[in-house]
Amino acid sequence: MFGISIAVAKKNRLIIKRAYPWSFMWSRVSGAFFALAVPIMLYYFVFGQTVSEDFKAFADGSDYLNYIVWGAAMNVLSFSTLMNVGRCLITELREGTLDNFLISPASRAGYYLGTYAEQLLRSLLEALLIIIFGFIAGARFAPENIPEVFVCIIISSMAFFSLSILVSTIMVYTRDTYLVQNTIFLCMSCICEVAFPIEFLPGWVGRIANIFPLTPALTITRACLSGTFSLEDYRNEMIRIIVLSMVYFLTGYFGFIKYEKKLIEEVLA
Amino acid sequence: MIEATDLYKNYLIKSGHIWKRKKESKEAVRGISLAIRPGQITGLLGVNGAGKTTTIKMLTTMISPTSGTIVIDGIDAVTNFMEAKKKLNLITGGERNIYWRLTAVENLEYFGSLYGMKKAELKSRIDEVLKIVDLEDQKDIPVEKYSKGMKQRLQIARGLINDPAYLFMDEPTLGLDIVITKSIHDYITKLAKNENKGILITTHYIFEAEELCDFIYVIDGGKIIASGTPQEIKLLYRPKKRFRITAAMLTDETVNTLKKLNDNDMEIIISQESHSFEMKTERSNVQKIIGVLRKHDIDISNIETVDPTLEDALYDMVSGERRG
Repeated sequence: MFGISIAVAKKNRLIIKRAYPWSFMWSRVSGAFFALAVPIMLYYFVFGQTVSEDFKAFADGSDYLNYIVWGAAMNVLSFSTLMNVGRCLITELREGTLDNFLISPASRAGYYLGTYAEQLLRSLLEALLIIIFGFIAGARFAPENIPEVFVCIIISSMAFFSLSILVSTIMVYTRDTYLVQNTIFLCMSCICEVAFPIEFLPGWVGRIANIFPLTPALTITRACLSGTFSLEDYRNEMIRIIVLSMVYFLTGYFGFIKYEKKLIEEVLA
Repeated sequence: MIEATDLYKNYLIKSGHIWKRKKESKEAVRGISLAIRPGQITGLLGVNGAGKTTTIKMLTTMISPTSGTIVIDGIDAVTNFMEAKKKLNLITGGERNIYWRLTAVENLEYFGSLYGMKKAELKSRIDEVLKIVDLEDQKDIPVEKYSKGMKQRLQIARGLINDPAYLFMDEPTLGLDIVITKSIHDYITKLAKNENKGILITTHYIFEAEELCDFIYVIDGGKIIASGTPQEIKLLYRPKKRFRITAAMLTDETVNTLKKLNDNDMEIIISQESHSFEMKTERSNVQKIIGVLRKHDIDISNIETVDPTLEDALYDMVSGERRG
């Protein structure tokens, strides 16, 4: 399986390097930069750095700038993973290279893992650029829990990977990239605590938010960043991320295995 | 050996819009049984839409048959398809199926890795297959800079990378020039005869099937309508003998009279440019044509018989089948 992963990662790296040198990443980072710039300016110039008491209570006393910077960074991380891994197979299908993969006995999990591994560093770098920008804008984080924050990021990234496998299968099933991907991404951006706590949302929307791993991932990482909580205090959220990851991975992976042959049939029919 | 028995494939075709969706079943393959033997080149011939691609996709385990069995060297390829895949590869015509941003070597490294090949084994195999398709000098150039023929040669190299026991070739020489086609034919023959590989080939070039195949299945409407060696297929249908008559320039009146003969039991192809025309007819009808030409004072310079080709046999076979 790992041989396949290495081969896929190497192949993807070369293609990305030759097809989209820096412009591809720059467009993503600049998009995130402007998405972050708007709430920061609103916070400084419209709301005069004041937030409601409810926000303080729901956000465990977090400063809004820290809140939005971390939300945007994790959002970029999840978006990149969903974009890169989620649409890998449908891209192969459109470019006419999927048949050669499907005819081979290569591990399907190895393929996904290779795609994930190749894009991980790029996605982390994109998230890091957002954090640096936030830091310049005035956000401050407690340095004590940095190792725990790092663990949070890695676990969150794996959760996004699991979700992206399910997204990939849905995309292949529906033959659509834009609608599926953008709907999920915009929905996550809106309801998963990226810009505000889910307690402000109606209860049923909050329950939907909790089925996305981004919500608990943000809760834990923000808590660790504040320096007043540790991973131990958020054991239930951690378990929730792991359980969600397993559910997404298994549903997506076995869904694809089951759907793999139907995919070719639909082309032939 | 690959043994397929009584294969059926139905597709569910969805049409209409979201509120009024129609589903109908289409029978693409109807009870096909065939065998691909090691060391033998088997042809699968038929017109577009005959069921060739569906049959190949089933045999290569890419889709499952609705019913029927496929056994590859004792492995049930319908249930244990991951194991069966190790023994196969597929070469398709055209320019897709390879990564244009990568070089030939990078493509082959990737495709070899999909079959679990180790680095050293892969390196020597890549050198070997690049030599076969004569791409050694262009191996480090990105595929997007290749000509159509070079891309097709790389496709062939890709299909050979895992040294498969059975190789499926779906129009492998599509769009290639005669020199490359000839060298690929030689190599396909060598693969079967010297390396004992079982090869199934589909092609629209009948001369290719006639030249290469040891055994041919003719498929139409999802069924096998004939099978045998190329010679047997020709004899099986007994296509009418063709006569080529070379004469002086034909007048319009003569052409019209000959066309009237066409209504009877003969087919006349008139080629004015070369002052010749061909008949596909029984020997007895030649006399009628000679009679017409004499009546119109047209000199006959030559009469010769032309052996029926596989193409003649297939054309008559498929058109006969469709007429019912």
